[in-house]
Amino acid sequence: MHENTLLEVNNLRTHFFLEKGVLKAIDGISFRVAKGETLALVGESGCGKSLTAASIMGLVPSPGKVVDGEILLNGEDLLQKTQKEMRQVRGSRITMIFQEPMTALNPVFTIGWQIMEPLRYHRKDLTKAEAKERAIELLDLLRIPLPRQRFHEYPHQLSGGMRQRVLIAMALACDPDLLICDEPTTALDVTVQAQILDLLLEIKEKLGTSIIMITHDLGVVREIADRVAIMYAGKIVEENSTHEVFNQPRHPYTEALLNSVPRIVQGERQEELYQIPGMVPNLLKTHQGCLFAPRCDYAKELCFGVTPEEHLVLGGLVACRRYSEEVDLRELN
Amino acid sequence: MILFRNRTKLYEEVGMADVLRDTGLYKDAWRRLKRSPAALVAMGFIGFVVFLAIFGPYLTPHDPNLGNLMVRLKPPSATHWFGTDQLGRDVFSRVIAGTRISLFIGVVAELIALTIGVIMGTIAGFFGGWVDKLISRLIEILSSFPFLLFALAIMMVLGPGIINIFIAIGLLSWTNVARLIRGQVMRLKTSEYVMAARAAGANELSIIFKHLIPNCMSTIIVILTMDIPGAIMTETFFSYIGMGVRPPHASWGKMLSESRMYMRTAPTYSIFSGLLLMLTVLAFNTFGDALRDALDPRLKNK
Amino acid sequence: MLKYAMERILQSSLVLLGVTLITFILLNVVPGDPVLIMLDQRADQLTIDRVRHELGIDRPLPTQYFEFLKNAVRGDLGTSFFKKRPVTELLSSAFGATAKLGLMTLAVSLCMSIPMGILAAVFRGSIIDRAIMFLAMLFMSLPSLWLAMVFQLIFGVFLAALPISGSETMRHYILPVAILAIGYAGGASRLIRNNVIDSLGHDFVTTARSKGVPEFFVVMQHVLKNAAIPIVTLIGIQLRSVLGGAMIIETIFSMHGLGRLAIDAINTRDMPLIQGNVVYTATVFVVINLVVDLVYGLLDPRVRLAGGES
Ligand SMILES: Nc1ncnc2c1ncn2[C@@H]1O[C@H](COP(=O)(O)OP(=O)(O)OP(=O)(O)O)[C@@H](O)[C@H]1O
Ligand SMILES: [Mg+2]
Repeated sequence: MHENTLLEVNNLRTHFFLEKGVLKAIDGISFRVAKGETLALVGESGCGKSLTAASIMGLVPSPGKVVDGEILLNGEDLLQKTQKEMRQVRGSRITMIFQEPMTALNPVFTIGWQIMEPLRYHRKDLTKAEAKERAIELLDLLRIPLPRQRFHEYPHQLSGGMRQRVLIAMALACDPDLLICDEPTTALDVTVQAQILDLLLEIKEKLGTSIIMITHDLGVVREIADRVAIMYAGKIVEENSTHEVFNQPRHPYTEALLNSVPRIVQGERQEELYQIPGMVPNLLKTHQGCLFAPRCDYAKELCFGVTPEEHLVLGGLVACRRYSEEVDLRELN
Repeated sequence: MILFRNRTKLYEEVGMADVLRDTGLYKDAWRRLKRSPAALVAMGFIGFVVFLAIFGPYLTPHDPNLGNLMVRLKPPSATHWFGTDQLGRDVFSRVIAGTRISLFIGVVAELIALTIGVIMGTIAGFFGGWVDKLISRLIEILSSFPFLLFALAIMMVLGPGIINIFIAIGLLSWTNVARLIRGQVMRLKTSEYVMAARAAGANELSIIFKHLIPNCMSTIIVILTMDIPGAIMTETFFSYIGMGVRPPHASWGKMLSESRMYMRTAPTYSIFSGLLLMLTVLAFNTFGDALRDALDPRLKNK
Repeated sequence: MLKYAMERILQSSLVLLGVTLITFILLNVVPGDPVLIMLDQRADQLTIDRVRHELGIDRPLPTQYFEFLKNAVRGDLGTSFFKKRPVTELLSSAFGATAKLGLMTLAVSLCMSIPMGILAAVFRGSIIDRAIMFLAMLFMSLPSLWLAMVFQLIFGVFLAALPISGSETMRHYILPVAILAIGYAGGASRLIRNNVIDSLGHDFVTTARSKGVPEFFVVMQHVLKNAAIPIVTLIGIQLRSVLGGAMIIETIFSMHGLGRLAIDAINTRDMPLIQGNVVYTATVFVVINLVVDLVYGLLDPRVRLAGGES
């Protein structure tokens, strides 16, 4: 393990045990996030991005279960921790913000109360007054005007962008090592999106927080991410630096994703943007071969029969048969 | 947001998908219903009670209304399985005969309430505007009355008897139905396929009868099942006050109230009508609940 | 909030107006001649005319209605025909017992249903949930008349532990309250369960969990404060239905409450008393509704701070 690795996920499998069978929502993914680095997790709706976040947070919903793998935070396996120990990690060392700022805040508590909440559970050393100061400081950090006044307001009195800032403030309250953002800008309009992204960039620089950025929006990725992991049907199909992914997409799926992004889109639902032929595979069934093969322009007979291995490529990994040679070349060198 | 989607939400989505597919709805509901053993038992029991109500008169071993004063208030025996009442009538036969009347009252009174409620709710929801305001106020006023007291006052004015029970219950309990249907119609009215029908030139009436009411059908069925026990219980109450069916006819409520005097001397007298009443109500409640879950998960909190 | 409150009060007054009108029509217009119902057709014409005059029924209907309304606003609901006492006086002396019965029933049923509902919701789908929900369904399905008879027999006669008639001491209330509370707890716990489950599905619950808030506080603070809003509505509904629905229980246990007074009035065809009773109880209902709406407003900051429509 590298010196500066913060989070290392190895061979994570999270399955849902439904009446109809076992849904392999995440099926063996591995990635790492270095200190201060931003990793973008990209993929179609339902490919398991949010579930990856939930697995890291230890909040996989009920019929689901992490069945295999390791999640190492500074070398400690989070999966080995008890509920109580996990609670101490959540909200202090790893925090998370969500897509819908409108509903992610509790309508019947003031935003001040909600920002102070993580401090109440993780920073027992702070007095109430200190916690309040800290909360106001955070509101200020996120450029929320009149923080002292906002402190006493309720979520419905703030706009969507302001609420998202409140959520970020809440997530930063205990100086986390890792901030997971699950589509933090999808529900906001474009100008507000840009402001929030700028804030995140600034935070990243100022505080050195590592970020996992879950998104549909490749524009966001290009702006903020250092590395990108492309997910498809519960697997990571390509992982590389942002530069490599955008300039030389290797996996056919990545390529299709990049091609299907229209130049400027406003206000439309992101899901509708990807127009890749065919359907996402039903994860309840057992599949043979590459999951993307039925939709892939480059698919050969071999692709339907053999599950592709991960191949090392320049700067990263790709799980596609076509790159087996590239590895061989590199190994020869 | 779909994050950390929970199971209820997922089921809700499944339910919605069913409504969209329309034809598969009842088949799917039946499949879901079959999975709940409690619902099946309840359904079986309701079937049994309905059977008693229909064929009861041919099954009674004695004439339910003919007493023999020589055998008053006897405990269960071989000739009188459930014993006899204060006039020496066979309790078993009377319980069976009472089934018909109690169930009939429950079903018919609820059907009346449902009819009024669906009409009012559809009108209010579909036309909106001042019609809606008027009906909504009326609903609000009617639900401000103490139900039983008001029903009793109606009964007093109209006099006792089955028909008047129907009227009293029907006139008062349509408001809940109307409120639910109104909401649903308002939602459906703006739905895409109603818009499409409108664009295709369908007139208002055909939209109401072809699109809106069929789509409220599952709600209507669920309300019917869930409100019948209330009406049956109300009958008990009327009988207790002396405003129920006229003697010598039997209903569960009437037998229950008559048996009260003889609790001490003939405790078994009250047991059977009470038990059947309770089990029937329990069965309807259980079945209605399961039916709602199966047909229309979105109705859950109404 | 002020605007919201004013709106609600205005709306309630309108509803009350409707209530009096409908009651008046039901009791005075529908039967044609209410005196005939009261006197049971046996009386001679002279008596009928006298009673008619005494009640002021010989005047035109609109005059009667406005007279009734005017007096009602002043707190005068007429005079009971058989008891020869002011209706308001009879009602307020009976209100105490019914209110006591209602409030105690409410308290007991909430003490049962809130824990039942929360427990079932938190462990939804499990055996605990199913057991509680079956119990609740059973509670809902017990006919109160029958339950009252059985309880009287067991506790009053066989065990001779509790009084089964009257409303003089607190002990007299134990059985009636138990019977009513069991019935209401059934429905209430199911409703609370559904509300808590709904609140548990909200995004802010996930947010709270992601902050490391212990599950206990997630439920007790975040969920319950949101579920409290429907629970207030529930309290209103229950209070109303106990006040209006305790008739059977009051009669069986011979308690001197509103319900029993109403049944007496119906049995003696005492029109002024019936009319007064309906209007009085409906007024109490409307006031409860109003209070519920106002509390609702206080609990929900979106309503409290903004006000305005609904
Ligand atoms: N509670 C659940 N029960 C069953 N299956 C679930 C549940 N939650 C998620 N899934 C399944 O897990 C898979 C991954 O879901 P996830 O929410 O992680 O997708 P996502 O990539 O975040 O999509 P989106 O972009 O729409 O947020 C999906 O196929 C979904 O069907
Ligand atoms: Mg997601």
